[in-house]
This record gives sequence, structure tokens and C-alpha cells, in this order.
Amino acid sequence: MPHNAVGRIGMSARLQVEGASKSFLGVQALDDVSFDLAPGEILALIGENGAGKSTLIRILAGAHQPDSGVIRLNGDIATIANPADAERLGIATVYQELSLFPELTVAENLLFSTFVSRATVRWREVRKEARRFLAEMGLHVDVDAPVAALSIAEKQMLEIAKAVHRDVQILILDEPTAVLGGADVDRLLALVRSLAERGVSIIFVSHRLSEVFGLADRFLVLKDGRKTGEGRIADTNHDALVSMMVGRDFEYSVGEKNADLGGVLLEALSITRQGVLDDISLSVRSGEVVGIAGLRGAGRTELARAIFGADSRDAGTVRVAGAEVPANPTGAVRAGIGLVPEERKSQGLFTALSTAANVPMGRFVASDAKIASPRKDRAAALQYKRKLRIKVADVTAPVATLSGGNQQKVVLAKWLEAGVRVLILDEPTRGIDIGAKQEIYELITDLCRAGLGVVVISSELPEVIALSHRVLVMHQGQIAAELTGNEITEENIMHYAVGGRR
Amino acid sequence: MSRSNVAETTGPLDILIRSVRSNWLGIALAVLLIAVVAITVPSFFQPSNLLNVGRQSAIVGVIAIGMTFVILTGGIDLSVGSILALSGVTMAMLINSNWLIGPAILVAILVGVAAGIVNGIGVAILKIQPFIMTLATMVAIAGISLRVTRGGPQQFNNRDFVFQALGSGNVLGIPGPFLIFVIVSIAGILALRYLTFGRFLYAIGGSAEAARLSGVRTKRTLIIAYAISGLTAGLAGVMTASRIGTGDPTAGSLANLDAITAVVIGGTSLMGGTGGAVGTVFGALLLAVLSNVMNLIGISPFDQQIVKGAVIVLAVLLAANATRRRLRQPAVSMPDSSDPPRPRNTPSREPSDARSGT
Repeated sequence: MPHNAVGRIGMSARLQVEGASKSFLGVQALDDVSFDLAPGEILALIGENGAGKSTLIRILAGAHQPDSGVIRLNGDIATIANPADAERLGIATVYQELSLFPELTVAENLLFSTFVSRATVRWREVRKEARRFLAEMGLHVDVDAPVAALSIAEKQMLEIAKAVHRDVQILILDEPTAVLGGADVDRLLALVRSLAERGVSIIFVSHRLSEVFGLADRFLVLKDGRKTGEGRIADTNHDALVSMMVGRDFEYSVGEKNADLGGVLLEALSITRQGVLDDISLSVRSGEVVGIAGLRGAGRTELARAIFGADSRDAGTVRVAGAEVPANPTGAVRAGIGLVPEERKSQGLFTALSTAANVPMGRFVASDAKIASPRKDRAAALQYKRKLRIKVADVTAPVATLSGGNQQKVVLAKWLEAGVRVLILDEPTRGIDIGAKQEIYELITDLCRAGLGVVVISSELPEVIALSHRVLVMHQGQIAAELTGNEITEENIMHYAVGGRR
Repeated sequence: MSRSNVAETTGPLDILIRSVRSNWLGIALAVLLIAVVAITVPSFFQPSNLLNVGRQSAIVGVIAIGMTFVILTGGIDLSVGSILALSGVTMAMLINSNWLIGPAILVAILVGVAAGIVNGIGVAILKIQPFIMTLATMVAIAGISLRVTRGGPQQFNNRDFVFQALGSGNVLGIPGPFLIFVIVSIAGILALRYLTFGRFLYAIGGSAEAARLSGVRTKRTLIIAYAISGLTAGLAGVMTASRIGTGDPTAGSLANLDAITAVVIGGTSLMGGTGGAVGTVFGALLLAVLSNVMNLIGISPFDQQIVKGAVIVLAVLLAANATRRRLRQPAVSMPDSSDPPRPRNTPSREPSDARSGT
């Protein structure tokens, strides 16, 4: 597969990164990482969530500045101070969040940057050029169609085409296939290959190891910001890559797991959402933590929302303590289910309202109360402030002023006040500092002792492993494996998460 | 400003203090205005004039209280003026068809509620933007009023005590419409503070998705909010018709803008989620005082409009500043916990990568 094994070293390398380091608020995100990239070479950049891949990409894209280290382009030291520099130097990055304008046409999106330097739009030329270029790229879409009408794969390819149109030398693709299905992945990989054959150097970030083997010339593995592996893809294998990704030692002290499990509290049967969730069943016992692991796009958040009734489902029933739960959030809350969403600020909290106004919101629903008592609400807020150690000076101040960890405690207080029996936590510690994390872990364990059933969705494997009695690994909308006891290891979880078989 | 009705009170005195604190802008402006007026226009303080101000504030004030419910959700109701006219026309025509006064008033108000429910269904279920939905009903309802009256004002005999009380007369020496405004205001303030329904309005205005994921029945709640706006507009229609003895299909054409102005001056954000009915009361009173004083001084109606526009901009600017101050000043400056900072190689994600999950 290597198109271009020659000239990887020394002056003929197109990109050389030497000793790049970057820390954020004392956390080392990238630690002395070096690598080369030759013209026409495809480099697979691999690592777990939080390994430093995004930081590295952003340094090359001009979004971050390295604390130390040197970047050379074609042998010359390059300063990439901002995204405009990156563009000028021929480095283009396609992020997962696409930067297309959904309401504008394909042609407009493709050639938008050429509009900036002109006062008028020559429509005939724009459409002609768009047609010519997309045909050359092998992307057959109507150039007059609004981008919103394209499939996700077509959007992704258009985004790549847009980057390539600007005469790109180095193309960085951040998990371009994460949201695509089988045939679309093949089309996209074919496009990437043809670009490499034309001499474009490509950094390809992917979690799907199988496609990495079919595509890349070389690989670079990061873990905790450091390089843990590098080499020719032909010289390695699946298991070796996985162990480079996860091989580290952890100190996640969560305390003793609750040993006293009760009867089945939450049952979800045959939950199905066309194209998203495929016939998923799970159960959670009283006092149990069930972890849900998997890659982004595997359907974890969608599963949580479907169980809670936040999204409609095509099939499936949910029961709490044997009683069927209506498929809407109100029904779920009244049945004793609480959802702590991943998008804390927009979905979990009312940031403009105070702690005292946030806390009783779930109880109002759960108890179907008609009358609110501001005095009691305030007393309840003060009680949770003490119990959950919420660092808030004034419970009547908007929660927007609180830190992430304290905001998450307010969300939890809302559900505890509502008297839930089952808590579904989606990325409960994302963006929260280590001390508050610890407190949330302890709280989860305490809640289990009190007989709640807990579902924890997390991309942070040590967190899932430390908390869970059982772990369900999701892959492409299905449960790929259920792990218990000693089977719960990072290697096993990653094995199934990337599509491995038993 | 005025995040007044957020659950935070302990006693009546606290309520007063907090109301004053959170509505300081409206109060400050009002006090300033009164001071200036006291020096320059002594006739303002004659009891008959003060009662007149109360009467002038009543109709816009009643509509504005209902409007507050809608604006708190992040919506708006442009159709209130048209509802006012339709309600007045309905009552006049029913009276002229020899209906009893009570049922005629009730039906007229229910017409307003029905129109509000239509707005609510459009916004909550059909997901039409509130501005567009209520713009459409504003036009359509105005058309209905003109159609049923064939464009002509419907005069009726308003000498009955009930109409006098609702319109131009006094009750216990106080203008009837002002009394209604007071009652509606108290009901609105209490509902927003002490009903879970009121709390849900703030929640929806803060984040509709967070409200839904907290189990709030957001559609039903929204429909009720618009129904309340329709109800107060319908009541205002009955008051207007009672005062002039006519169901005028073209009445209230600027009532929507006046009511929105009162709400905004009162510190309720058009973005939803913050503000309250206390501020709206002050906003409506301020508007009435302003136009009364300008009349007394003899400022021309044209100049009055310019002043009014300036006051809106000033009020909103000050309110925005107050909000920014409140949000900038953190409730607490401590970190999440007292634990020492994370050592270098502890497993964790880099902060800025949190979203994109490397």
C-alpha cells in the first residue's frame, strides 16, 4: 500500500514536527511529539479520547500555539500563528463539525472563499468551475442543490473538495468516517487515496482500526499526549495498535463499589430507532452501575435519549420496577428516571435561573405539583448545597456563574430532589476538574448504596471501568458486547468498540 | 436586571425588598421623572390627575401583564391589539342582540382566550416562530372584526353600572380600569411566583430543551401562556368598549407595541427566562406618567413619540448593563474543589479537546 516510501526523512519530508509540546492550565495535552510526513503519504493518527490528537491537529491548523517544538514545512521552519497562516502554507483541516453553509448551494460553498475578494458574483463561472472541479474529484452532486439536501457523506466529501480546491499540500481529516455507513466510507476512502496519489499528504484521524489498515502508509499513536508508537502500517496489527492506545496505569479511586444489588429496576426492551439504534435491550438492578462505552457516533447518547423518551423510538418499551414508562420525558420523570445530558449548559440546566430555581424543576414534574413555594425551594437548594458540597455563595444567583463541576452538581440535585430511582448520566464528568470528578464518583457510589440504578455513558474508559458493575460496549447502534467482572478492561472495551469480534 | 421572580423569598418584606432591588431601574426612572415633574409641573400631583394616570395606564398595563407570560418563554404576541378589537366588537354585538351583560362579557373574553390558544398551537405544535404566527393572527383577526361589523363601529348602551365600572367610572373612588389593572397585576405576580406553571415559563425561556428534558410539558405550557395573553387582551377589549360605548373594529391598533414596550422597560428580556410581572407594572405606569406629563407640559404629540423612543432605548441599555454586571460577577470564585491541581500524567483529557474527543 505505501505509495511513497521514499524521501520520508530529512529535507524531502513535506512536514516535520519536532518535539511539539502543549499544556493547558497545567495539564500536559501534548508532550514532546515528533513525526514526519512525506508528499503523498497517508499517516493514520490514532489514540483514545483525550490522547492529544485534537491538540496536535489544532497546532497544525493554527488554532493553538505549541509551548515548545518546531514545525518545518519542506525543510523551512514555519510559524502557524493562526488559521490564515495554515491556509497560506497549504494546510487544510476538515473537522467533524463541518463548516459548510447549509442554506447555500454546493457551488457557493465550494467557491465561497473566492467571493471574499470580489464585489460581484459571476454565477455562470462559479457554477461551471464547481461542476468541473467536483467531476474531477469524483463527487457527482447537483451544484445548484442546497448543501442541506446532501447526505452526510456528500457533505463530508464536499468539505474535503473545498479544502483541496484551495491548492492544499497537507490535508488533515479528523475522524471523517465516524458518522458514515459502509458504502459511504468506501467512497470517502477512495477519494482520500486518489488525493494521496496526486501528491497531497494526509493526516487521517480514525478510531476504526480496520479502515486504517486498508488506507494508511504509516501510523502514529498518541496516549496522554505522548507518542507511544509509530511505524509502517504493514509492520503492525490490530492488537498491537490497541495496546499502544491504552497501555497505561491509572489511579482512579472510586472507593468500594456497592456490593448490595437489588432487583431489576430499569428494563429497556428492543429499543430501536431506524438507522441509529438496532434492537437494544438492557436492564439495570437497584444499586447497580451499568456503564455504556463505545466510540463517538456508536449511539450511546441516542440510546440514553431513547430510553428517557427525549427522542421518538420506532420500537421498544421501557419499564421501571415492572411498570411500563410512557415514551416521553414527562412520563420518564414521573416513573423515576432522570437524565443528566452531555450538553449540560443547554440541556441540563437553566443557566439564567438561580440554583434555587433549578433544583425544584424536576420535582414539580415528578409530583405534578401546581403550587411552588419559593421559601421551600430555597431551603432545598441550601440543603443540596451542603449535601453535595456545591460551591455557590448565593443560591439565588444565576447558575451561569458557577464552575462546570458545580453546575453538574446542580443538575444532579435537580434529580435527587425529584426523587428519581434511575439516573442516566451522559458524560457526567466531561469538562470538570479532577477534584469535582472525584466527588461526583463518590456521589454515584453513594446513590447506589441508597438503592438507585445508574447508567453511566462515558468516553473516559478508566471512569467507566472504575464505576461500573457491568459494561455494555456499543458499536454502530448495537451492543457489541456485555462485559462483567474481570472482562472489564480497556483492551476488551476498545476491541469491541472498534468493531472487533469475539 | 430583574431576575425578580426566581424563587428566593422568605417573607413579605423580602419580597418587597427583592422586587425593589430587581426593578431598581424602573423605580429609579420613575422617581427621577416624578422629581422633575414635581418641580416643573405641580398640577401633575392633583388627585384628579393622578387618578387619570392610573386610568391611562390600565388598558396597556393589563395587556402587558399577559404579554409578560409570553415574553418570558422567549416568545412574543403581536396579535393582542387585534384581539382587543375583536373582543370589544363581540361584546357590543352580543349586547345589541339583547344578551345579558355577564354572558356577553364572558364570551368576549373567551374569544380572546380562543385566539390565544390558536397562537399557542401555532407556536408550540406547528413550530411557527412566535413573531410570524402572531403577525398572521394579528392580520387575520383584524379582518374578522372588520368582516363581522362590515367595517362599522358597533355602538351600544353602556350606561349600566358594570360598563361604567369597567370603563370610565370609579369604584370606591378609584377608576375601575385601574382597579382591574391592580387585580390582574397581583394575579400575574402571584402566578409567576407561586405556581409551578410560572416556574416552567422561566424554564422554557431559559432553555426549552432543558425544560423538556426536565419533564416539563413544554407544548401545553406554551399554549397556556399564549391563552393568558389572549385572555388579558380580551379583557382589555371589554374595558375599551365599555369606556367608549362602542365595539370599534379598528381599536387597539398600537396596543401590541405599547404592551411590549411596557414589558421591556420593566426589565423582562425578549430572549426569555428573565424578568417578571413586577417590572411590567412599573413599565406600564412609567409609560402612562411619561405621556401624561408631556401632555401637561404641552409637548406636541410628535415630540412625545420621539421622547418615548428615546426612553425605550435608554431603559433597555441600562437593563442590559445590569444583566451583564450580574453575570460577570461570579457567585463564587473558588475552583471546583480544594484538591490540589491535577498532576501531569494523571489520566485525563486535555480541556480544549473535551468536545471533539480526540
